[in-house]
Amino acid sequence: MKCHYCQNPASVHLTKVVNKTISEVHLCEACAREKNLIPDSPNDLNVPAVLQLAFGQASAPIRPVQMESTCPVCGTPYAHFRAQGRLGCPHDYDVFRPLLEPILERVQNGSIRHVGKLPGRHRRRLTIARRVELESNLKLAIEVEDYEKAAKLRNAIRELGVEHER
Amino acid sequence: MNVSHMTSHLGEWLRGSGPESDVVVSTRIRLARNLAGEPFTTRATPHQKAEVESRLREVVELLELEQPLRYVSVAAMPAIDRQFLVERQLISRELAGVLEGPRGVAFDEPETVSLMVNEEDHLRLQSMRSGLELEAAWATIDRVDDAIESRVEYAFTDEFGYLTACPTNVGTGMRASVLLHLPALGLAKQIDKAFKALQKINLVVRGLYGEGSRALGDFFQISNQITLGKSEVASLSDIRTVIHEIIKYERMARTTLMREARQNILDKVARALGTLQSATMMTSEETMELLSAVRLGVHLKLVGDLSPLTVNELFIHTQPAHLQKLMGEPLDGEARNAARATYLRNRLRTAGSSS
Ligand SMILES: [Zn+2]
Ligand SMILES: [Zn+2]
Repeated sequence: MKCHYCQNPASVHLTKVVNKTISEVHLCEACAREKNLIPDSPNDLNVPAVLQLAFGQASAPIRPVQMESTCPVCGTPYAHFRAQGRLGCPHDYDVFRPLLEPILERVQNGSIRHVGKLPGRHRRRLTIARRVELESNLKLAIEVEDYEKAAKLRNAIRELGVEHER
Repeated sequence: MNVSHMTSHLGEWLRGSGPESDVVVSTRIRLARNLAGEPFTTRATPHQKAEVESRLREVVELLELEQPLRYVSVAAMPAIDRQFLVERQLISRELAGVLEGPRGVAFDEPETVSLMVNEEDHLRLQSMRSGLELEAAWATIDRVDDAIESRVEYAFTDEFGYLTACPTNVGTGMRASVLLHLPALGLAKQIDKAFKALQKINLVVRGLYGEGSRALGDFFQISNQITLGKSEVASLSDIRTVIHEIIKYERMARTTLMREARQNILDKVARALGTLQSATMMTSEETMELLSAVRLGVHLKLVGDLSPLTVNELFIHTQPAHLQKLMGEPLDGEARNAARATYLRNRLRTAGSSS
């Protein structure tokens, strides 16, 4: 069985519920890690990320060990963010990512992926990368017959075209 | 910098004209940006903040815009001048009084653009317009943002977009706000009904003054809530759709009032004007309520000799810091309320209700 995103053999198998139809998603370890579906330690599955994939929402309680994690760049502990609501530095988005994603989903109405303006210096490179990704997701959505998602993706691709003209 | 000379004019966004200005007071769009590789302001040391300030100050002063921006240090400013800039909406309350250390603001003479440095984010860019001008405000701030970004690297990832201190701003970092004056819907007690549609598409409404409970003077600000997963253009389009709906409701309510309760409206406006012309003590809350009625009267053509610009000027000039600048001395409590009443009496001496 091959990975959903690339041609490598799949070693991670997830069951996904899309529009009440159950479908299976198979990924290689590298893609699963890249999509943040498995953590660096093999015994410690990233529950919020998996739940998010499976149910479109996250509901895992936060464990004490996560509250103690600290950003190595600015020294901000995650607990400080929870108390103050403000992050310490741009790197925190990376360090606290599994903890932040469910929060972002909640405050940002379910979306955790930037759409819109790109800084000039990255515009060309990112636009191309984004188009490739959206097109592969579109193909995937059509395969699993998620037409609602496919329509959204087509819109996103069209918007990207407009952005690119700028 | 001496801010006193600024009392002689108002920001461009308060000129009281522009598209749909019978209902829409102003449009404002802000972008939150941070420098790559620097801690966010609240975690930065005074030394780091000073560095961010001097870097951004240099960039801002070199920008080639139609209207040059002038940078002023807020940290070095007397409290009353900071309050003055808050009243003109050039800086936030946080930048004025809550945050500490090196920080400042750059703005142009017509006050169409303001850039706050070391607010919660390193840079808060704002563009302001009179009336409903979402496209124009976006075009301006987008251009300023590009010009700055060509000289500094912003904290940005492909996935989360522009990274901000608070996750509620991450992504586009954009908050577009439209300030509405809805006195007829207020009188008809239909505000809630008109706002019902907002929740569904993730817009936030809040009263401009008198946070929380009832909005003073029926001024409401509508903003987008979502910054991640929705482009600037899509967000602006959502806001525009809703604003046009609400404008339609407000105009319908005004027409109905004029048809069915013309004498009552006329009386309300005339009483408001009369009180402003004769009272000897006036709180800012009462001023807000009365000027709201006068503003409605101006747009319903019930008041002669009074322009929307003058009404806007009275709103701003009766705020504490402006009033004290105009009077040339510090005033508190009763003295301020007396000075406010005197100022309003003088300014409105010649205005009369027509009909
Ligand atoms: Zn793969
Ligand atoms: Zn950090």
